[in-house]
Amino acid sequence: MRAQAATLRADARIGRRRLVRGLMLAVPIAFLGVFFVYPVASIVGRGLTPGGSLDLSPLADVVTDARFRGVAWFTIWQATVSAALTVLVALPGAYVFARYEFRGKRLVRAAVLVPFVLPTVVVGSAFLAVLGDGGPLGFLGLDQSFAAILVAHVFFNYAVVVLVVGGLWAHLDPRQEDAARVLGADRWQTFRSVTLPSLRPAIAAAAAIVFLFDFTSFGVILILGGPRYSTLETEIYRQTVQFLDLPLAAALSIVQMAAVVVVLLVAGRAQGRRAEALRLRAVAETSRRPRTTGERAVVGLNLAVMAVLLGGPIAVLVERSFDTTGGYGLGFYRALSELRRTSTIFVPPVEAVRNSLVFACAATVIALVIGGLAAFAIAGPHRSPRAAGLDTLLLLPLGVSAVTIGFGFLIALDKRPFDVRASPVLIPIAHALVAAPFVARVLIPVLRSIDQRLRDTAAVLGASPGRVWREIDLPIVARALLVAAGFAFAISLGEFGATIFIARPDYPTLPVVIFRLLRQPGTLNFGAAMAASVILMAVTTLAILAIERFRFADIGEF
Amino acid sequence: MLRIAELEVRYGEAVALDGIDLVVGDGEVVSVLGPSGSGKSTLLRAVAGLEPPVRGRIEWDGHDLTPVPPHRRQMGLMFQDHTLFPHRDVIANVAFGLRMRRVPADRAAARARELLVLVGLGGYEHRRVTELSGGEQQRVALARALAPAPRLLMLDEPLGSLDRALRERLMVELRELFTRLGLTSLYVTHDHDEAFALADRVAVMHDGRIAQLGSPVEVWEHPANEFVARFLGYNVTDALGSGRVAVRPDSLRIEPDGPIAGVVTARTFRRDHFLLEVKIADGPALEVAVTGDRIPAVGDAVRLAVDSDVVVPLPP
Repeated sequence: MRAQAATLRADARIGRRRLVRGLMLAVPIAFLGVFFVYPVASIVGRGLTPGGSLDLSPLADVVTDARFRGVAWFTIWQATVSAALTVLVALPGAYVFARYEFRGKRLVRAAVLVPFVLPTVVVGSAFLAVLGDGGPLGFLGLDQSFAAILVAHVFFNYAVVVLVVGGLWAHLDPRQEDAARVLGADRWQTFRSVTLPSLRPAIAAAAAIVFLFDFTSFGVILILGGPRYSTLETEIYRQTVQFLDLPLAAALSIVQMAAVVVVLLVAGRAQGRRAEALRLRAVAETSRRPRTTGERAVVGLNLAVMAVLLGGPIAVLVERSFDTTGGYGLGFYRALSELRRTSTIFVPPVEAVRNSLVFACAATVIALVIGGLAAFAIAGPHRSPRAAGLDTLLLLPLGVSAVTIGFGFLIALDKRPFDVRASPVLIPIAHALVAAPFVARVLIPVLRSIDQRLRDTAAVLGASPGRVWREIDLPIVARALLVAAGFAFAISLGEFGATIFIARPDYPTLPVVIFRLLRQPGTLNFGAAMAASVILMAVTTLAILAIERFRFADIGEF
Repeated sequence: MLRIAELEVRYGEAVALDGIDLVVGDGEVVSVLGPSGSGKSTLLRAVAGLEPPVRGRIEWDGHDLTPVPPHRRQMGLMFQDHTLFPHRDVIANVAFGLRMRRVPADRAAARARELLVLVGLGGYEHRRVTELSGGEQQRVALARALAPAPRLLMLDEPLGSLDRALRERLMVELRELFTRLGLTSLYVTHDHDEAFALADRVAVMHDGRIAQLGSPVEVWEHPANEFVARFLGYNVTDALGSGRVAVRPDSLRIEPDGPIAGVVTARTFRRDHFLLEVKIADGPALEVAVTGDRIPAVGDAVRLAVDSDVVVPLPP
């Protein structure tokens, strides 16, 4: 009898734990269900049953039409070339950060991170400033060219390769390379036979991420590609906004999502192989100051590439924002509050700054709650075996592209039961959907790194499960939470692909205003776009600098 | 008094503990000795409440502990390494258990200081735990486990990650501490020197079961079966003419007219003796500890003798 009662009480304990775990899973699942799965399902529904019954003609149009096939082909082609180019250019940079110490390294690292978090609209503006009419490289005639798109993509994703590959590289034990050298391998053989095989999973992962970003690239292509170049993303936008052909846009979205799923599966396989056991060392043991002339040249050359490739466009952008027709001045900045209302911009652009900040704060809070709960369910103590599925579900919005999310909101949330399309609340929700996967990505490795025995020790010392969470998990992830908040804030500030579909004219965000200004003729509008881009860049950079201050030496699994 | 009866723990299908019966009396130190994978750490985790048993009972003074969650069992647990809270300083680590029991801050701090002095770390209160050496970290972990005055202190390879000299010094200190505080303790280790030096009784574990339970002298002099004998470094052989027996390397002597003939196949210097591997004719290799000036070389033919009173007969 006593034994039975005891077992019952033990069962009750386990039951309570399951309930808490279930609730932690339920919130992110409900959120993703309403704001992600439902809109995506609506797209599929709209694409397959445009008139209420199954009708594959829009999908057939997309697949057979030569123009759309050209668009799909170009989407894949530009992403492949961009990703390959990014890895080639950034791999030496990753090496330099991983293996060498030099003055100002922390600062350079932080600076390299900036382009990655810059809003796509700002990247577009910056390259337009460099390559467009009146830009320092305007004479090359690269405005609206394939080359412009490629260089902008390299600019954008340089940091991804440095973070992912350099992150692993910095932890690789250099003694393995030493061992190969002692066994008679020269530098190149050592790199090929020892270093490269260890790095291969990271390189594959980085290339896959970059490919995905380029595949779903929207703002950059819309601004730099002009009418000549369009990808699936920009085509979805054009069909929706210009031609109001929603069934066709939905069909394009379906093709796009299918392609992304394939890419994610391939990337997942590449990442799965990362699990092999590597001998990892603390960063402090693996990097040193360059010693020979050759080493100094490698470091110097890479820093020069970073300065020109990453620093150049930003410098030109800033310069042109002050370069008014009457000499350098603040004219374009003043114009932000003075510009006339137009058919597409109802409010002075300066109000967009305020809107963006408010939306970013709200989106950060939502993303932290959703991403945080999901991360805890996936990697916290007593993790649920089903949480792995949540991991995938959570990653999907990242892959499915912001444009799809925005388009899905547009067609799904305008009727019951979720008639909220008119509400500005949708904007931070869309942003949070994009940011939550990042939040989870930042938190999961930190949560996983917590030795379960720390929690066990705390429990044996008298801490209840809730207390263990408060005393152990929370303090250890606190800094990662701040980093995640910074990322979410920056992502929301710069989000463009989804926002362009759902931002109402009276609540524009800064990226939307920049895009509209760039679309309008005239030096004043162009200059105002430059000025607004500089403001957006400055705010985003501040958020990132805050992240770098709190950054753990050992996080950053992207 | 801790009483464990018919305890069974599984990880999925794998049986980690297979019917453990063990009693630890008040003030007694029982060492759980065994190779890795024998289930000894699982035993501690089960007693701490961190692994739910499939079957069996864990009792304290007659009360069933099975439904009691870990944080209410009032036990102390110390792991081999890496379990100091990295985000807290030394004194906050030591005072953690007291804080969980709602001891007022000033009394908790005083008690924590007292324990730091006890483990020889007075003045370390506000050091970061990540700055401490391995030995210092283990002392802090010990102070932390002792601070709430647990009714049972469990140690899981507490000295395993330390170098030999430090390990031997801490072994003496621990023994003193156990005696002085009259601690009831379960001490897990894979090192029989450690187990014999510290414990009142030793439980040798093998494949989730207790292979032998007894005082250090009993276990050392009369290994109960082949597994225990081999684990303690005995030769197990039936080449001595009295059935299957266990014999220690230092019980075998080299004698010109000894009854067993063999050839030296390996020779290792072991500080105070040489350890020879002697392949005997139509039999296994035996380890023989030899001292003196004339140590046979590899390849030498030798003859061995053994004192019959140090040969331990083994059950078939």
